[in-house]
Amino acid sequence: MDDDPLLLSFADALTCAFGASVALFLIFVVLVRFDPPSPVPTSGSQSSRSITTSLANDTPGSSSLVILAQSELPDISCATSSVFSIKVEDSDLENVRIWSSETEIWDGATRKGVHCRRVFEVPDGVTPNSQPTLVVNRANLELIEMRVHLGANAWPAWNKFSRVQIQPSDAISKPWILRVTGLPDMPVITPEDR
Amino acid sequence: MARRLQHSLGVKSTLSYIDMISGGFGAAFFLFLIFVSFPIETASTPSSGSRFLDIWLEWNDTTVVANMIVEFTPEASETALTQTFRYTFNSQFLTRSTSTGLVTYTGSAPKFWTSMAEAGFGLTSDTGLQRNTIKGNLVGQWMRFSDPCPGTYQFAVASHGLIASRLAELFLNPSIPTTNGRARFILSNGDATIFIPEDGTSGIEMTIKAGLDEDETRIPNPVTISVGANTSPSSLLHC
Repeated sequence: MDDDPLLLSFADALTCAFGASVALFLIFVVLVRFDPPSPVPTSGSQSSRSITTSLANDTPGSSSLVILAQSELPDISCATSSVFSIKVEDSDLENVRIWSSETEIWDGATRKGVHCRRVFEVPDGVTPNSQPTLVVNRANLELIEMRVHLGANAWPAWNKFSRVQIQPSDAISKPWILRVTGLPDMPVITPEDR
Repeated sequence: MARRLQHSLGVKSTLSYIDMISGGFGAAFFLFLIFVSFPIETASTPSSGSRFLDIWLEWNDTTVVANMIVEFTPEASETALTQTFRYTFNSQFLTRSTSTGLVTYTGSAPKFWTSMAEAGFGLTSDTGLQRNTIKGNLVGQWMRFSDPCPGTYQFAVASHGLIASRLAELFLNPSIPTTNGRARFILSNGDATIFIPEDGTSGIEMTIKAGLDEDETRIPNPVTISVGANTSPSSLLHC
């Protein structure tokens, strides 16, 4: 009996069982969670992913949505700017407030042009039934910069703009320039994303 | 089998290799179930909704230049800071990058936020944000702060007077010009979003003085931002 190397004592079995249980515990409980779901980036995050997080966690409709749109023109005023023709559609238009600013651009004593900015305040935010969409009604040759603020999140970032080049022909082919969808994989889309 | 039986009969506490494998796995699985069901780690809460403070300020006279002042008193239990800090959000303490749109506060007080966005703060040639309403043109400013620190926020509106084309009136007219204004606030601590005033559409009414001195109009309702159940600890690290 003692000469059989395959025979183990009861204590050996218990030790082995305990070792196996620890090993399984490590495999299933610790290692599987070794790369835990990253803590929700929540506030102040700057990626477009976090805006989805905000949408998922904030009370729908309560995240005040603010959209900035701006451009620079060599003109005297913003009267011809496409930015000043932008409207918000697919949302409760009664609650959308539209603010504008017009700032002269100077390079020393030389007047370079004008900075045109429009701010859309959408207090209702984004809901499954409402996807606020920026629609341009005047298409000049113009580079429009846009940024979306939803709660404490910004798209594409607090220090970046999403840029869309507007062509005169876009009045028909590209009437909308930004849409806040709230979809997990692509919370904000531009015509290039279609 | 005969060998196994023989061994079993000889020493009752001795098990075969097969016994050890099957029993071991059974016990391992049993212990595994126990370990797995232990509340070893606290449930990873999906953390919070976003925390932010939104300030909308508007006034009726488009020739008045004004800006927001914030006095922040930190919540003592959440931060080592004890004093009240004052922030003036005008062109003296704010810079805005035209290329990135990033706004930077240059004052010495520690920031109670992590990121900040604005529109309409008073640059020399900036007319501020303007909005057409049935009551006429309004001028306004917007500021949004992410991750505001817990504490009490007292707001005031300061005016440096009138735009350049009307400055002479301040010397000729002994009375201080005024304009009606209103402020709205939206704040979220990750649990709930609160609109002040509650309807989210009107505003706290005030009369803004626009004299040559830097007059301040205090908004009577201070705002308290507390730590909520879903407040992410990482969003408080700067406080």
